[in-house]
Amino acid sequence: MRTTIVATLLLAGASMGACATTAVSSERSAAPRAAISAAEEAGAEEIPDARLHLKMAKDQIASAEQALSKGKSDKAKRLLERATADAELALELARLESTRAHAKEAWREVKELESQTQPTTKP
Amino acid sequence: MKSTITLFGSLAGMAAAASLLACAATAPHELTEARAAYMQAEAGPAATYAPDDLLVAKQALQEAEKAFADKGAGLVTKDTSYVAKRKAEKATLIAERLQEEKRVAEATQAQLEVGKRAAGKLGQTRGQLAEQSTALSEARTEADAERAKRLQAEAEAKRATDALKKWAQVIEDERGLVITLSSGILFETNKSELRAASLARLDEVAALLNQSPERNVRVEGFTDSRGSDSTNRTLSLARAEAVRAYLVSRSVEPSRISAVGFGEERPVASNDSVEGRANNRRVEIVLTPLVIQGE
Repeated sequence: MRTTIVATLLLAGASMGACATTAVSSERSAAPRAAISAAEEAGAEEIPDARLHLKMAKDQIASAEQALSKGKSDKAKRLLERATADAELALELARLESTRAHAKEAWREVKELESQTQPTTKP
Repeated sequence: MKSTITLFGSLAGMAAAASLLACAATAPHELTEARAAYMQAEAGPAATYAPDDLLVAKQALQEAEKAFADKGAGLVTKDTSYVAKRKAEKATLIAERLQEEKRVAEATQAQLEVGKRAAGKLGQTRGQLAEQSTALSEARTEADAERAKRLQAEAEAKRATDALKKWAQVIEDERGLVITLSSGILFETNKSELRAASLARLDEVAALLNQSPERNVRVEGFTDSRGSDSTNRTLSLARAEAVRAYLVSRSVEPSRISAVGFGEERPVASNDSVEGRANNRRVEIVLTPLVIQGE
């Protein structure tokens, strides 16, 4: 894994260093940041899988900022896209978890209601 | 897995070293993972529940495939693959969430139906209760009316008895309620026709009898000891019959009233004195008790 990254970074550095002039607007980093706060609001920190992807998203935003400071805007752009994908995944993981809990609770209530109303049928 | 990664790593390194134009034949693991994730998403609930998100994932995968075809297993390919894999996973998660939301909706519906059923039962029970309550209050009204009627009848009987007591002896003994009327009030000497003056009094007796329609009545005639036995018996019977006939004419049911003549039997006083003989000349009206009537 590490060798891959080292290799690809070397490759990226070698092939793209010359054309990294495109400015990364703050709008571009706004998308992953918005996705991160949405995931946090949905309770992603509480769910291990979601927390992992949230961390990956944050780390990649930090990496993107570093890349940007070195003028590697294409790399920064791709890192932000990765960050967005991770943050959105964290958000969906959190949403699924809470909806699942909600459904479970709703069905538990149905069972409870049924058990409460059932005895009245027997006089 | 580790060996595959190492293989990909070395391949990527080799591809980089050999320059991009060499177009590596082996896809990086990011791309193979993205492909697998998409295939999994396509086969799962996303096809039904999140087709739009599945399409987005497909386009992301196509982008990664294009990057791989154009530039080989480079960073662009890996990063686009990375994104594509997550979009495929996201589509699956969205589909699963929509399924869960459907379950929530079904649960809400089920709760509603349980509630409705319970309300229906409650309504039924309430209806039955209302019916029972109506029946109960009707029965109570009936019982109240019955009781009022009985109390009124009792009061009337008492009033009639009290009125009778002013001129007749009214006692309760083992034979039942006994009204003793003096023959002197009812008849002329040796006659068995009722005096006109006595009729109003017999009306009071009839009223009392009519208030106790369930009791049988026996009219018993008695004389004093003067004269022959047979004459006395005949006279006492004739007098009892006369009283009976009059009472029947005042609405006393004939089937429940009988007449009997005892003559000089069963004296209530000594026949040696005028007063005693006067007491012995009498008509007794006996109302047999209810319990005896039932046997």
